[in-house]
Amino acid sequence: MLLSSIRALESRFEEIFCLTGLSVMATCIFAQVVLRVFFESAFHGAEEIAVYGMVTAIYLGCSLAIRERAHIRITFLVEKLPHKGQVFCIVLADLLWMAFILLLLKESITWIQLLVQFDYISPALGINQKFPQSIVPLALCLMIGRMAQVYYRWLVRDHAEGLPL
Amino acid sequence: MNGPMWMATVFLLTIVIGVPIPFAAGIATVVGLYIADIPLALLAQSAYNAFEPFPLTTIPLFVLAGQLMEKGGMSEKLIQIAQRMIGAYKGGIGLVTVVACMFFSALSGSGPATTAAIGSITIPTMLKEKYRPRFAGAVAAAAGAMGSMIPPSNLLIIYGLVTDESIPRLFLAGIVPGLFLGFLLCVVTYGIAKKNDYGGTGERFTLVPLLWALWEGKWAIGAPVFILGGIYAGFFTPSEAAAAAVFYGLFVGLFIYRGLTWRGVYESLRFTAILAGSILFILGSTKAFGQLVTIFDIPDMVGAAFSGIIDYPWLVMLLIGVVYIFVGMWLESIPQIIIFTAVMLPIATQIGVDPIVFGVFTVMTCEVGFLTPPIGVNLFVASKLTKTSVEDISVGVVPLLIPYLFIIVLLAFWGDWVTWLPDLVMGPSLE
Repeated sequence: MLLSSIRALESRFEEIFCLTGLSVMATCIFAQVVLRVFFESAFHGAEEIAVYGMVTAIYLGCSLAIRERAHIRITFLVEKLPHKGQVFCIVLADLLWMAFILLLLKESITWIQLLVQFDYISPALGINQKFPQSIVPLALCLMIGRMAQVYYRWLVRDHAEGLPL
Repeated sequence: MNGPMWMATVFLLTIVIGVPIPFAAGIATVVGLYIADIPLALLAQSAYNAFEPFPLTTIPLFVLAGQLMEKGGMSEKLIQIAQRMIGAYKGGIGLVTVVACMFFSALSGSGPATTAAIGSITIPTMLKEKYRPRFAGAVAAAAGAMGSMIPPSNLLIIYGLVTDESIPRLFLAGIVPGLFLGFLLCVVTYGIAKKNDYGGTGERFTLVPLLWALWEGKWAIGAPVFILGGIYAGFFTPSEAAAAAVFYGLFVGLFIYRGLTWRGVYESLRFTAILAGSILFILGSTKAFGQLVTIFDIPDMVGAAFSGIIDYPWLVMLLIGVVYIFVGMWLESIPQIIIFTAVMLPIATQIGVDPIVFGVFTVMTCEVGFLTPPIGVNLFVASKLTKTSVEDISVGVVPLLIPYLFIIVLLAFWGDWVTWLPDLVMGPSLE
């Protein structure tokens, strides 16, 4: 029971956050319109919350796209190579991609450490930016995990047949 | 090699071996930062700050609204209206595809989404009426590309954000070229259909069925009036209009047309999330790129390459158009606009081209990119719908590229016809 719940959570983890982020974004902005047009009132901080929702959707959506192998690549030239060459190119591309994510992770952790030391408060809602901005390193960790998962499945389940795409 | 050359080389090599475009651009940016001796902390800072501009919310919201409206049954209603308008003429269902794409473009900001929404219904009908599959797919692909020109347009929003130009003004500027493009596509479609004797019942046009279809589809046809009317009447900002469009699509799909299920809502949200994660992510990885463009004086370097022909603005624009179309054959449109506008806009303004005209010009060239292999997204969508090869559709689409190229050339020589409508509605732009 517990195991199946964890599996269900693992298979829908990004979706939960992306869907929540997008829904919050749309609802906050629409609520702002409704309050202004019909009640001559304002939704203080709606734009800030909407941006938090969007950033969550983008970063978790990026991880979701890794899981689903939905990132857009130009494979037109790679496809002209023999199979071994194709595998070499795609694995090299993914290694470079991972190196970039690891570099970004290292730098973003340093950045968050700075935000922890020096408070940076948002003007509208007064939220300390170390909290919302932590989504970047957290999502990058998730992306690394998803990439490892894709390769584990390709190597173990598919016995390295086809391409890790 | 200097910094920009290293960046370009790394970008090209990483793309060629299959690194996804946002990350290839990020790796090239890292190389640029390293050469310019700028701390890589800038990369981490911009990974979040790049998404802070509130107007950016407009893009995922319009994508979501388009998805909800498509799944909610609005595309069927728009096709019915178009069918009553022009369905009886020679090449009727081809013309219906073009006109319905024009209507749907006013709901959706995306070219491939428009192709999928309308093509998924009209392509099977065209095939049933013995249209050649390559032509059926090509019409849907070419007409769907209008989704990026007729407002709301995701590409015009990105251009507006990159250049700090007014998004409502850009939307207004997209209307006349969008409608003109639709008219030209109808002419070409009709010509090919007449030559090949495709479709056409020969029935005379009658007003009553059209009025009836308009009444039946009033919620679908009312959406652009609601979205764009709200912006220009001062009720909404573009972001607010996009959020209102989401709830409009949800309401009409769930309660009026009842084509939308909760499963459909989930799929629409999921599609939007994947699109945001795989395409908009580039903003985070390349925000520092804009600063590098200034540091390395790239516009000056590119400008120097054009110096011999700077007295002929039309020639400079045509050359930029050729570069854009070539790049668009390989690159997704949003990354293309982000990367190349920073380089090319200073040159365009230097030769006296209005930034609004340049925005429309840029998006028009991107639309050609949607329709040219190897990375023509609309071709892929149309190929799936017609169950024929991308190569076959690529051949079929060639005559339908003529209207796009004609407008690009027209824009290179004369841009005032684009700024006429925004100047009329919003007043002349301040220099």
